Amino acid sequence: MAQDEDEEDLSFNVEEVQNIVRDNIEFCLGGNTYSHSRVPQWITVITEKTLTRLNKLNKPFKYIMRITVTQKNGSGLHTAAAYFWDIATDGTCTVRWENKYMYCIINIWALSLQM
Amino acid sequence: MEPGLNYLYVKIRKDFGQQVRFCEVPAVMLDSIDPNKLDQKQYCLRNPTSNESQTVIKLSEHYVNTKKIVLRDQGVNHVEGGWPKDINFQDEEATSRHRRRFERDDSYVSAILNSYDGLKHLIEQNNAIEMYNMYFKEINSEEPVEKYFVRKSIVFNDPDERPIASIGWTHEDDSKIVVAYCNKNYPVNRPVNKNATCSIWAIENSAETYTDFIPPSFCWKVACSPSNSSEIIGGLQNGSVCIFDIRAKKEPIAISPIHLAHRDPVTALLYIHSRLNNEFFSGSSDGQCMWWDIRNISRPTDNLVMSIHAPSSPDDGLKYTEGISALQFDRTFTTKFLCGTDTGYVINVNRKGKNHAEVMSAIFSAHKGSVKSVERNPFIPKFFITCGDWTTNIWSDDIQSSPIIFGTSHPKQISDVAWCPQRVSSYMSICRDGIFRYWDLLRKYYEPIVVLPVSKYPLLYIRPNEEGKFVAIGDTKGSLNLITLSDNMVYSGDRDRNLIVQHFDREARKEHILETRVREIRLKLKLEAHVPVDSTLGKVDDETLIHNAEDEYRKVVGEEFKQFETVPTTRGKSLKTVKH
Repeated sequence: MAQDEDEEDLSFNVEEVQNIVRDNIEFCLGGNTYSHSRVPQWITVITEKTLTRLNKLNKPFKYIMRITVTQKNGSGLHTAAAYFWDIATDGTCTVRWENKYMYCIINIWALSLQM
Repeated sequence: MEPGLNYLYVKIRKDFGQQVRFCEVPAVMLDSIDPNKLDQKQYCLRNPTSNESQTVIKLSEHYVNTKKIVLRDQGVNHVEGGWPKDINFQDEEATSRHRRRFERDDSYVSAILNSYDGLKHLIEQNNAIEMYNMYFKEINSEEPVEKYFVRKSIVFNDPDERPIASIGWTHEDDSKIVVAYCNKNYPVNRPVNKNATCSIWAIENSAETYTDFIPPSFCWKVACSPSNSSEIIGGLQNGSVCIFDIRAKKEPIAISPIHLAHRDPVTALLYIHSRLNNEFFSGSSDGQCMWWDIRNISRPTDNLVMSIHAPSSPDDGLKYTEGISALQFDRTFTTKFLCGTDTGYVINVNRKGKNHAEVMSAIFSAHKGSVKSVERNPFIPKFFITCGDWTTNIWSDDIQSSPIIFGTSHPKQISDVAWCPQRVSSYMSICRDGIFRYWDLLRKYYEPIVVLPVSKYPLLYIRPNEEGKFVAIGDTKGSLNLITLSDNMVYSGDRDRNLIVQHFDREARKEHILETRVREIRLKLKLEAHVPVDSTLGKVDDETLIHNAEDEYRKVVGEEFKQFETVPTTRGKSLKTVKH
């Protein structure tokens, strides 16, 4: 049991992370229109908040976070990724959020530290 | 990033460096957004866009001005006042009474005492500085330091590059330079002179001559008439003299006949200061000195043969003469003149002497070679300067044994020397190394004050103009250089004359003393040499001395032979035959 707990504790919880991220985006971008000059500010806010909360989870992971904010003007977008890692311990999580004027895609990769 | 963001964890040592278990995960799509035509239609390309830009230098405006002060003139009317109403201030008694009453007041005394200190301070300040005083008026102004400079003004070039034989300045206000060109070397294989033209240059125009004149033979010497500016006399290579009038024509108006004139080229030519300025005399290396009258140069008026050692009688002719190389005539001694010879003597000749010894009144053994130039000091005629071989010497008339001042030796031969016409203590010398030197006896004794390289070629002749401001120097390649001197080199200082007279007198006295001493010593030696003749101790004359010497010799030789006879007889025979 304890080991299960430990195991749980040590693995990557996708849902939890998604919730965190979605909250943050909503808080930051909310109902704003796309403004090219203000986007860097928003991104900074989002990253800081998210990484702090991820760190608070106290899990032995390295986090990589990627944010893409696109204006909604009918263009298409396609992203993909391939990995060479430890499948048991490492994990990934993607969150897509949109409002009337823009899309926001956030990818989080968690790479476990050796334990 | 917040600085406080950190995650601490603890790890056991044995868990370090565990094996890495990586596997490859193929590409996984992360997200995809389809293109939306409707959305696209909501956006269009804005073309053209108006954009505002301004590239202007940013300026700001600010002005400052001084306050304007308005001035106004107004008079002041001085009226005496301050007196109380009841006193008439014109009335002396009333005012004095009022004053006395005030003075008795107590506060008056203390008020005066209080203001005493301040007033005293102000008064002392006022007395300490006298604003309207002329300071330093007792101290004499210092004389400015003399700066000498010479400058090469103009160069007059002869197109044929003939060496300059003689230079003269015309005696008029706008002085011109008369130049004769001639190569004085002896024509050994072929004639060295081709062109006999002599020129006159004006100082303003250095491009071409003012005028030319052509003597029949090559002109060795020129002299300008002191009274008539267009009259020039020339001494020629064939020994005759000729007169030119440059306004009339280029050829001479009169020439002396050759058989009556000199036999060698004329080496010296001078005007005599007579009443009418019509006499001149010439000297040449044949040793004769002839006097001529301008009005008639068909024959010389007087003739003098320069012979030092033997008395000249008409029979001897020109046997014992010394060639003349320089002549100088000074106004102060109308019947005397100085003559420098080719053999290095300078003779002070008195024309009015009765016999030969009186005529050659003083003979100075001046130089090792020919005396190139001799000149009296224009201010102190008793002293004259000579130049020849490598030095210049200054002599006094009275002392014949040696010069009173020896000049320093020059690196190359000196060609000419001249006193400054207006400066009593200076003279100038030129040298065959092309350098002009200006000497001042009062300032620097052993060194020239100014040294100026004038030309690359040897300099031959120097002549200052009458004023002394310009100096004409001629060299072997026909260029006549005109040098300007600064004012302090042309004119004397205040006390220069006295100082130089004292200086010369001192030197002359020293030489005089030396001369008398030398004479005394010689006299004493002569007396001592005669003493044995008078004594009775037996004649020590040469004959007996010789006999004594011979006897001694025979004695010594005889002794030696006796010694040899005892030696083995192989050599004895030959020895014995040597008997005397």
